[in-house]
Amino acid sequence: MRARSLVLVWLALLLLLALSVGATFLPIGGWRHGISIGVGFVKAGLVLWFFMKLRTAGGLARLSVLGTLLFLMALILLVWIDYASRSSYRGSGIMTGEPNAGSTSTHFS
Amino acid sequence: MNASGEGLHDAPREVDPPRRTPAEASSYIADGYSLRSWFVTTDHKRVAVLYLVSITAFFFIGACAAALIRLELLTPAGDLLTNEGYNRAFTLHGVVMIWFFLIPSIPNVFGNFLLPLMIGARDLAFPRLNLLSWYIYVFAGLFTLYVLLTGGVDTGWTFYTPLSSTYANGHVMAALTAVFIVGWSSILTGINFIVTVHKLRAPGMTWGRLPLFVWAHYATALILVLATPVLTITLILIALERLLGIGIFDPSLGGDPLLFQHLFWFYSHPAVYIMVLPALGVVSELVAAAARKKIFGYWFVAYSSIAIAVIGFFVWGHHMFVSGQSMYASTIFSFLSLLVAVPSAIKVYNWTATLYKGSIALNAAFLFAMGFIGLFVLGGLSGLMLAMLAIDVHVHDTYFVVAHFHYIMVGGAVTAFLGAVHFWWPKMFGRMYNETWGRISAALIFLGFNLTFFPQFLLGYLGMPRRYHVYPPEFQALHVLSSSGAFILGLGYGLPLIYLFYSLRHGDPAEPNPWGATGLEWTVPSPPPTHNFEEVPRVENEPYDYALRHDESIG
Amino acid sequence: MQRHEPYPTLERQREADQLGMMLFLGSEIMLFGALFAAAFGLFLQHTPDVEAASGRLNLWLGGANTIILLTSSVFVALGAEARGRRPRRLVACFLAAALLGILFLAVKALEYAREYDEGLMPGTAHAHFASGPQQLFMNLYFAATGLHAVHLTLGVVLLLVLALRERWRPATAAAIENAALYWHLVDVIWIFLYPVLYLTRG
Repeated sequence: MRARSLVLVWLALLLLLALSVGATFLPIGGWRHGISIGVGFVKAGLVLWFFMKLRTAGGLARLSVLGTLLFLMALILLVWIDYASRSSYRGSGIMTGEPNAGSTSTHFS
Repeated sequence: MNASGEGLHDAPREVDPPRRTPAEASSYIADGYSLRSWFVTTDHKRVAVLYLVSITAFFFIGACAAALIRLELLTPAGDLLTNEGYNRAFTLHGVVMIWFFLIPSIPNVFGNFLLPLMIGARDLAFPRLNLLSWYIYVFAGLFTLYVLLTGGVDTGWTFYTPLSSTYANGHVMAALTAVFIVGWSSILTGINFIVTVHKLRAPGMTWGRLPLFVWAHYATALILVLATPVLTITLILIALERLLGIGIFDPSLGGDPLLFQHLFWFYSHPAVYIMVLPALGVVSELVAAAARKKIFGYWFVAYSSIAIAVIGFFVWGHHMFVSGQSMYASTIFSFLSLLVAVPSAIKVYNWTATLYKGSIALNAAFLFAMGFIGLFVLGGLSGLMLAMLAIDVHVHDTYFVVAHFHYIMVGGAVTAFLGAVHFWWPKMFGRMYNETWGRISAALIFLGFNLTFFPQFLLGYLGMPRRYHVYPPEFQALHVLSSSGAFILGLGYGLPLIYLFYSLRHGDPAEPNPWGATGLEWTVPSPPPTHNFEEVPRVENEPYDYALRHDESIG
Repeated sequence: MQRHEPYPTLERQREADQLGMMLFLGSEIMLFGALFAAAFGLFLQHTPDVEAASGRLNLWLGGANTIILLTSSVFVALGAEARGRRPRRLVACFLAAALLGILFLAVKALEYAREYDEGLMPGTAHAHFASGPQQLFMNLYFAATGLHAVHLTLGVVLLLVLALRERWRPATAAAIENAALYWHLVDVIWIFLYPVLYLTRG
């Protein structure tokens, strides 16, 4: 019965919610963030697959969702690369055009 | 029509053309004369005409702003406009030209009109949504007019923070609202086109038989749907910052203005492909029709449209090379920006190969297409230069960049738009216009355009910054050249308004296929009846099955 | 269901409706996705501040809201399932979901009220933050949950309208399916908003 499987999915979603909340209290440092987002992806996947009927939808509908997610990931990834790689030369003078900018050696000053 | 394209439409006429041809009498134009029948239409062809009128009006407004700018720049002193006034002029020019002319131009006029005809459908997938798109566009336009009439905005079309969010005077909220609203028009159009191409192709119209115009618009629609919402949220965030101080780009709170630029350009770079891809689709059609030859490398051209759309999403950081973006991210963006030039170049090679040993007609429409190819190549090459970090660091925010994007947008997209107008005008309105005047326009525009914008490459390379109206006297000569060119360009744009309008009443009646082109739209009367096809066509031919084939150009 | 021009078959029309709705949902995902990108940018630049600020949100109220929304989602799914065969179940389920949506908004209002009292709301807030980025995070929280609440309200109205007029003017299959898809998307957005805003605590 389809209604039964829907209710089972709902229970799974609640369980996953408990998991992500529980993980917040564990002393595992930065992994907490990864887990809670990861659980979010699993929950969203369940909703998309069972509630939004991607399970029975054609390739086109699935491709629309997948494609969208891929472009979104591109935005997030490249923003991440920007922020993650900025500090390595901040304060080294490159962007302000000082002479000997970027150099960490103290030979020339 | 003889081989050089001179035609029946230049010779003096003994008899006045009929007030109404039989085709016109049963066309979509004759299907109701009331205002209501036009403003509550769901006919994609009528919606296309509604768009044509509106975008022409906005083009005129944007052109007036340009005229102000070029007049001001005739002299080194800031004597025509104040600093604030100049800022408002170039902002208005950018906002109007980009969102209210270029983005809707080819897709919403020619895409709307031709897409169903080209695939053998009776309308788009969601006809009422199509009309809604137009109304949303007009509603947004009202906000833009309000901004114009109340003195304008000085932030530049790019709305950079913290100027736009904190310090700008002027009607920033109204401008943000206008662009926010017009974004929805784009998104709905995109959804309509994608679903139309997937679900309404006539029997036998496989993907491999679609005109390249359709491929280009499909790729454009993907960008419309996926990129525009990012602009929407970015504008909301600036608006929230202005209204409630809620912004996350505020540097005094530790926010990053560069974050705004990431979000803004994530949309605005793909947006330039929204403006150019339809133009590339038009040119593919025009080149094949001009050469009377099958397009060379159909699948290369088709997939290159998709490739441009996809890769175009990954290059936005090249607008931020000197804004404080990390060097490593900039390098990645630089590489990807070089990559995105490849599919565009592929198209140019294929067009050239199509023209080679073709029997090339030189009608006005085809002259525009030829002009496009040359100008697009120049614009594209300068784009490659800008994609390289080492060069961009020197020419960023100079007239070099201004020249680059005007070569693509004006030399490219507007030229292609005019080419499309001249090519499909007989189909849309059932009348032929005067060929000679068409060719004069094409020549004037080509000449005027180069005179306006080539000096700007030089200006930029010599160091003239953009968005400045006061400059050192040594730049004046080049500016005078540029402004003179703009005057000629303006004449060139004004001419078609006259002879095209004239043709509506006095032009020769158009046959279904006056150019001898391939494509389903040429199998129906000019202008088409409301329901497009008497019987839904069954497609059996390959696309571009002209008499000459591409392998006849080899050897 | 009525076949409209320009579709050759009803089946094709249904497919077109579904594809159109999926594409619209794609655009909504990009809309909120960019907001998440902004949040991520803030997190990368000011990680300790973001974690501290997140700790000021009440994760239990947020969690309760998550349960409420997940439950409303399963009701909508059950209701859509019953379309055509058991119209009374459809109405009951959609009404239940709408009520849960209203409950969500009530809990949200409660949270906002408490945050207002603590002086965390934009415009009233400056003295109460340890640092600028913490205030930024709260601002983002208000912007994101506010936008989500607007979408949720639209969804509630949609569900109510469809449920209440089912007796006199039964909705088309497309309308029910599309409303359901929209509601589920509102749920999916919250599924991500919750960990990003409430569970990023230090």
